[in-house]
Amino acid sequence: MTRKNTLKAWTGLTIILLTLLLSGWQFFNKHFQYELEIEAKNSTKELTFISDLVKKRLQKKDYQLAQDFITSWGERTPDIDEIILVTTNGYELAHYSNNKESKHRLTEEVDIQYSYDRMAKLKLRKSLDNIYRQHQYFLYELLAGYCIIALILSYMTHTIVRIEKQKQQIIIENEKRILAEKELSETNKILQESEQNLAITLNSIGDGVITTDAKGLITSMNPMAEKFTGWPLEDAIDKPLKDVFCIIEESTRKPMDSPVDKVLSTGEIVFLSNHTILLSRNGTEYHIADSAAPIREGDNDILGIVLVFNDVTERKHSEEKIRTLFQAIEQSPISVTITDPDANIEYVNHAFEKSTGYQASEVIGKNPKILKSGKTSEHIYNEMWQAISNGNSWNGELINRRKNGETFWESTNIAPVVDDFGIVRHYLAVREDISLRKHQEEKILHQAHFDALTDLPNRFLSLDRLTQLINEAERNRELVAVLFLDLDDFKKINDSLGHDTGDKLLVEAADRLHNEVRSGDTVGRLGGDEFIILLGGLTHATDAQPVVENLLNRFRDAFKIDERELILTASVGIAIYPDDGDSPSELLRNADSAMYHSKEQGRNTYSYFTETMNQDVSRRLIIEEQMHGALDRGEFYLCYQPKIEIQSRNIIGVEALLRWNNPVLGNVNPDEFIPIAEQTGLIVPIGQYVLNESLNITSQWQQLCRHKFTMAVNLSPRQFRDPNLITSIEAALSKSELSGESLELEITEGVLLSGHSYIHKALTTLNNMGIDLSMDDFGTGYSSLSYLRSYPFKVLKIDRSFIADIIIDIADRELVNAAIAMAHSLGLTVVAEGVETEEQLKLLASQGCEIAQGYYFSKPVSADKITELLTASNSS
Amino acid sequence: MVKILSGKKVTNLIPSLLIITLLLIPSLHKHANADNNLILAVHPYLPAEELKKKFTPLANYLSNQTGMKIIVKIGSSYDEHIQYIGQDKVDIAYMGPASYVTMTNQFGSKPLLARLEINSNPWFQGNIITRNDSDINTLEDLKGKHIAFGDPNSTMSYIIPHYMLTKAGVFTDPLTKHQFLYSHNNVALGVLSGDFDAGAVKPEVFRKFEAKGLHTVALTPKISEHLFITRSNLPVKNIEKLRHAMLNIKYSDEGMIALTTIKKSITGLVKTSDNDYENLRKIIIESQQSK
Repeated sequence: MTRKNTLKAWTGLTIILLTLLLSGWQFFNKHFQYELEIEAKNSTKELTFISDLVKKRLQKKDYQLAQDFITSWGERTPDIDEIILVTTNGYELAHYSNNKESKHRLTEEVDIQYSYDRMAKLKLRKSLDNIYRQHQYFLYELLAGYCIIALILSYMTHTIVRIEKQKQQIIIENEKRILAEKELSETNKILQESEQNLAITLNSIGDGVITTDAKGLITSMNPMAEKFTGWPLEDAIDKPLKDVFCIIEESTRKPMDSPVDKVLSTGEIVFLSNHTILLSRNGTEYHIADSAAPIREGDNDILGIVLVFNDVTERKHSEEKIRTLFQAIEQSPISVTITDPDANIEYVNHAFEKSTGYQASEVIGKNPKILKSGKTSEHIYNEMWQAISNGNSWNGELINRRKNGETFWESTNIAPVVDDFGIVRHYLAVREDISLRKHQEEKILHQAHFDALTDLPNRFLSLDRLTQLINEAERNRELVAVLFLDLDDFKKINDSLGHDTGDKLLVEAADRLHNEVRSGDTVGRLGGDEFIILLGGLTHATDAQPVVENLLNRFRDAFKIDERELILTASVGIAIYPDDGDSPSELLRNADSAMYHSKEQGRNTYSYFTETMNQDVSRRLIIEEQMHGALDRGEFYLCYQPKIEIQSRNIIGVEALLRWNNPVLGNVNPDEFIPIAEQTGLIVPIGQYVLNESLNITSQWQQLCRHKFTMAVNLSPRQFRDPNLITSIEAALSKSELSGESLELEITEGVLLSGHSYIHKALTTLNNMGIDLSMDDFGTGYSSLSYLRSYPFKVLKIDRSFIADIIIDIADRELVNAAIAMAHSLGLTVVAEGVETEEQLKLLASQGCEIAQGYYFSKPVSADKITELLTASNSS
Repeated sequence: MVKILSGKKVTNLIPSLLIITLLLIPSLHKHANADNNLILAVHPYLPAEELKKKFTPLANYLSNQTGMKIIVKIGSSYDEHIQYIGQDKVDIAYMGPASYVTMTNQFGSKPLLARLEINSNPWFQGNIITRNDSDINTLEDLKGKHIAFGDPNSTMSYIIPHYMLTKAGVFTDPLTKHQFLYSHNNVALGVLSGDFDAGAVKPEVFRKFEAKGLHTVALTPKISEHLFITRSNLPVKNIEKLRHAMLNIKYSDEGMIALTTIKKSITGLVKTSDNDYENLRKIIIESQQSK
């Protein structure tokens, strides 16, 4: 590089750096202006916001609050130096100042018109010091960045100048070298002449040789040249070379320049590219390699040229094929190994490296045994060696070991590679990693047989094992017990605490069951909360008894789920092979029937199957079947039981009670059909029917009464899960033109058990609607006081089971007395259910119980009868 | 079964649980003197917990001096407070002058123990204020003006000033307007800001804002301070003990700490008679009649 150019480069750099500095400075200033504008906008917004709030306070004449607000706003906002609120008469109503002297300040003010004739002015002074400081830091950063760029550019310029100088040096040296080469070629001239003469002898060799004169006209050809070009010498002689020697480029298939012109113009030897194709006179194509050289006389004059070429078509094809094959094998996703006949590895492809973790260089020359994991049985290897040493191929699945020690499954195919003479020269092993498939197969097999939640055998495997047990028992003349276990009230837990809790409970229950049986016995999950336990090798049917008792005992301890203690019991039904059936399905069905019997016996117990049980199960199924559509068919109707105010003996309300008369089943007991309605969810439409029907008649009865008259309706826990509960109650009330005060909703503690917030919300909403909430069946559940205190109950209904014995059972009497006192202390009205005698009534009256309900006054009766009763009491 | 207690099987447990619970429920409805403790009732002029803290030292001091256990209870409303002492349901009551007068009008007289002395003065006067730049010099000048009051139940910021303004004929002018601002501070600020021409405040508030440009147009009559009374059927010797302890409280360091806990400016408790509240009674009765 010249001194001038060096100067140019450094001048250029200086201009660039100056431009950068100027534009950076411009950018910095614009950015600063922008920040200030944003700050001003924000301040205006903030002032507007403050003034709106101050305005509201001034309108309310709460000056103190306006002052406090301004002070607290100022204190909370560090950037604000001062906020001043001045009234029309110039009085400073509020003045917040942080007593700081900011260098840079922004002052905004706004007028607040807070009544027709009152106006105040709000001034806001904000400190801009922070922004100025930040921009100072930003400037430093920019300068630092600029310095770094300047340094880098200077270094680059310096390097470029240096490299350019070196290049110049190299060019000078090259020129010297070429000159030297030229001298060398001249000294070889004599040698070249003899070589030209020698070329004529090439007639006998396999290369084609053509010579031309200085004009490029053919002077001679050897026989091979005749063959390749398809031109006999006599035809070709004196023809321009390019007519005879037609060459095209392989990929573009365009004619290539004749080497003659080039050699003649340059006087040098010209080599054709590797992709040259010679078109013979008859159209045959040959891949050729050739060279053209000048024939010289004396020192300089070129007499002609000699063209030497040979056919490389075959070699080219072989090379192509080998390259393709090699690439295919190398890039194949399947692992390939090639060994010599002694099983020393000669080649592995990339897939092999990937699957084994070994690099090719680590295994070349080694025996493939290095992959052995020891987990594949020895006879598989024997079989493999036998096959391949007999010259046959072998395939199978091997467990191999990777370099990192991990084992994996490989599907392996080994074949001998023989040469033309049938001698084994290599072995070829092709392998595929099938670990994933193997793992999935195992998993699918497990999933097909085991329950995903509890990992217990599922229905399929359980029944399969039962079949095996039956076969064994048949051979050995033994008995098999099939235990059908169902968790009691599990559905309620699912409904009230959610499926997550239910699932955790199932896992824990499965664990307890599994730990309780002998190791050979099967515990399986049939689905839901149903489990099966199979006990084989029994001598007597009673042998199952201690096992089932232990199982039930295991449920005595509370289950701790999510820091909540839950008591869960189970009902078990037992069927015995061969007495109760000889097929798995029959045994299972009969154990199921026995389980239902246990449920009816009060749960938490077990029953052996007897023939009559099947009939009970079928009744339940019939009830379920008949209940569908019963509402549309008008089979449900309501009865009403009066509630009596003990002091006045007036009927002050009724409780609506659901009844069902079905053409197939006759009158069905509510205790029998209501649980089924809850389980099937039919309770929601049925409950809606009860509400509509009972409220429909309420106003008619209210008109017959001189005092307050309320309709009490029972709500089941299931109904609370209905999102439309509140709206449907509102609709029923408005349809019958009643206010909430006319309705009392009776709920049991079961509703509150879950503690869900939506229950609390629903109860509060109902209470706000004026509806009285009544705690039903008090004393039979948790009897929790916290429920009574934390939910808005108005009424407490003492369960009939306590009232029944208050005359004879001191404990019951004390309980009722205490319950009444407690209810009163909480401000609740008390209703005694199931009052049947005058004595009971007197005792309740003496304790201050307000309301009674029971057969002593009236059993549940039809609506007409209630109308009669009310009319009668009205006229008396 | 999910239920922990099932049916009647565990009836032995439930009664005992219920009875224990019953004992734990506090009862306000029983007679005040059921457990030999004396109840010092205070009206809810601040949050209940704060008042308990303020009055408990005094209750403890009086307990020590008289040998009778005294506990503090806070009424749920001013009205409940008046009803409870009126019906002798609490033993000792701390009352504001207006509440006292209302109570005696309804239930007759009760034994008086002592009244507060604030900065050595058992009387206090409210101020009817205006701005220094206004041309109002007498109460009559307030005709047709805009007047700010505090709370409609407040003695100093409404009842008495309103009585005085009515007397001065200010409300005969249909242009006279007034508005309740529910705090003494707001009244002073309202006048200063020019939204109101005048207002009525207690003396502490007047002093606080005086320098900002306020002056007094008129002072209210002197009203006797807050006082302690007892139920009418408390045994005479107990009344004597309490009164003696109260009137001598200023001689005890412990007693003065108890008093200043209630209010910093209290300097003692002094003798009082129903006569001290006669002028306020007259005002309240006349105000009620004029309504």
